[in-house]
Amino acid sequence: MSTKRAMAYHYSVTCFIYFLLLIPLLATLVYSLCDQWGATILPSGFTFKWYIQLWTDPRFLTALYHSMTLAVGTLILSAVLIVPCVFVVFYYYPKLDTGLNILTLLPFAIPPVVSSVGLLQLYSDYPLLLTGTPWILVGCYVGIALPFIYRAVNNNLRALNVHDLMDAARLLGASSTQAFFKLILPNIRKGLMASLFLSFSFLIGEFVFANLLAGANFETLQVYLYNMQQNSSHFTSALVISYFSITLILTLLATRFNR
Amino acid sequence: MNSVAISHLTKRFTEKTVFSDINLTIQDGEFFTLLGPSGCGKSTLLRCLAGLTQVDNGTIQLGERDITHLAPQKRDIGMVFQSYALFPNLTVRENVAFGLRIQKLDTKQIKQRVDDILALVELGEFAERYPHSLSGGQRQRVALARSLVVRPKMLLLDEPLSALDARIRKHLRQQICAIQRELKLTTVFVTHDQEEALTMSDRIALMNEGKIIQCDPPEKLYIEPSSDFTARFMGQYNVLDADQAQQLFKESYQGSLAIRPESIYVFEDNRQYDERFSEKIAATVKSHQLLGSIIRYQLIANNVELTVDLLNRHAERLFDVGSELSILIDKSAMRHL
Ligand SMILES: Nc1ncnc2c1ncn2[C@@H]1O[C@H](COP(=O)(O)OP(=O)(O)OP(=O)(O)O)[C@@H](O)[C@H]1O
Ligand SMILES: [Mg+2]
Repeated sequence: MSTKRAMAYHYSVTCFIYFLLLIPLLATLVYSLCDQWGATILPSGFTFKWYIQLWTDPRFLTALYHSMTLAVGTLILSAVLIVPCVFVVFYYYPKLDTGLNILTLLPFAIPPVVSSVGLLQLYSDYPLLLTGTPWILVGCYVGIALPFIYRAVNNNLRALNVHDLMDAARLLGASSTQAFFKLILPNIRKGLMASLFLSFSFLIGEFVFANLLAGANFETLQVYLYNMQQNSSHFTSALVISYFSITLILTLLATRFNR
Repeated sequence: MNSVAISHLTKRFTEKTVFSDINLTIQDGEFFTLLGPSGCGKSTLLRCLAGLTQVDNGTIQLGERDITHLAPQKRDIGMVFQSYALFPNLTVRENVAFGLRIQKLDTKQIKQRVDDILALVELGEFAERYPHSLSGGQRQRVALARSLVVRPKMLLLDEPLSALDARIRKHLRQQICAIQRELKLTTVFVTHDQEEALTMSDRIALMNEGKIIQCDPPEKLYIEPSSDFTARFMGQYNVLDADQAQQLFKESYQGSLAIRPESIYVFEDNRQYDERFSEKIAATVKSHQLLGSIIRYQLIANNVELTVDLLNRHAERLFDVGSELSILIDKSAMRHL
């Protein structure tokens, strides 16, 4: 009896928190689906017109395409660069781990506004004229993804008995490279994928670097959202909901795929 | 054929010499055990044989080949780790097949050999399971199968049984011995458990602090210890220094004396004792422990503490703490060290 009441209590608390968190999103959703919501308490005029307007805007589609390719490209590059690096440090040069650890703190320690000033100075001139191109964003975003991937991969490696596994594989005739691809990689896959999704949702929502380093030359979703501020707020609501749904669907798909 | 010759082998880590100038020969098909207390360098020696650790000096020869500087992949040596080191992302079958896949054998052949070896270690029905769903003993047998399936020239076992409970351990001991005899495989077994070493080995090398103290067949190692250390490490030998020996026997001795606990007898009136035995010595029971088929007593005789093992035969012969009795010592079983 008492456990039933306790359960009911737990449920109600959970639901309440969910509700609190969902309010802003629900309000935005309703707002994006109505014609007007000004003088009256309840919205009026249910319509899809804001969504139609948004999804037929070629500028929006380009921004979406930019954001997607940028995030996916960055993550592929990060995975290819960072995973072997973390493994090599973990397995062959454990003493370098401290250095790597400090390196992963830098993106958090230095505010994006500050580091973008430095990046602008460095890459606005020959021979490295990169500002205004997506390439500077790719480089910068790899740095942002580093801590997420490093943490996940490193924790996974720690949980795995890497040294004995590698030794066993070598005695069975496998080279270190074979052992890495056949044994280590499959065993850290889950953690790696989780960190990639996390980085993905982070990168897709990144605004400061995108705006300062590439700006109008390479408009991403966030920059587009910012530039559309003076538009009807029903329109921007539709944009926010679309943006949110895309991230949600992709994450769900990826989680399902990863199982 | 697959005998091993180790000569002048030396291994140093930056701040510490683990062993220096180790010389050993292991016969083809022999079950050879490295026995010694924790930290004496057994694992390091084994890893040097496997090529997982580089040696600083000396040579290792396997059969006709000098393998001292050969990569582990090329040595044809199988190894079973204390941690099992099974590949968690692969099933039992895939784990065992791993080495054969690397050799790029064809699928049918791989399946045949994996099935055969799984049958040998009695794990046929577990082929499609993942390691995390197996018990410790089953995992260890998978590890054994995985290293045997590639038909190595030598098998190395690093404390493969120490993480298992006593009953499984006994069973696996027999199984490992049986498989080793059947395959006539040169085997080096590492353990710190003297009972395990005594029951399984053809020959035992007793190590301490990086040195081989004594290298002999089990019976000899147990009955004829050549040093203090061996006597203390193998069984519960009573090791007495010259003063204690003199106190006990009331005659002068030089050097120390090792007396096995089962070579001390309690005097019985209706029995004849020949000249192998010492004079009767009065003793007091200090404590006792029941070890199953034997009872182990700690006695005080002439102010010397002795450990005595008696067969647990008659309940009425259990001596209580404080009881007075007379003991005789079989002098022919005593060792002067
Ligand atoms: N990688 C290493 N670096 C430095 N010292 C090491 C290393 N590996 C082992 N040692 C040292 O070498 C000595 C022997 O270690 P080893 O693992 O061979 O002992 P062992 O006899 O196998 O002990 P145990 O029964 O506890 O496994 C130990 O003192 C250990 O501290
Ligand atoms: Mg060891």
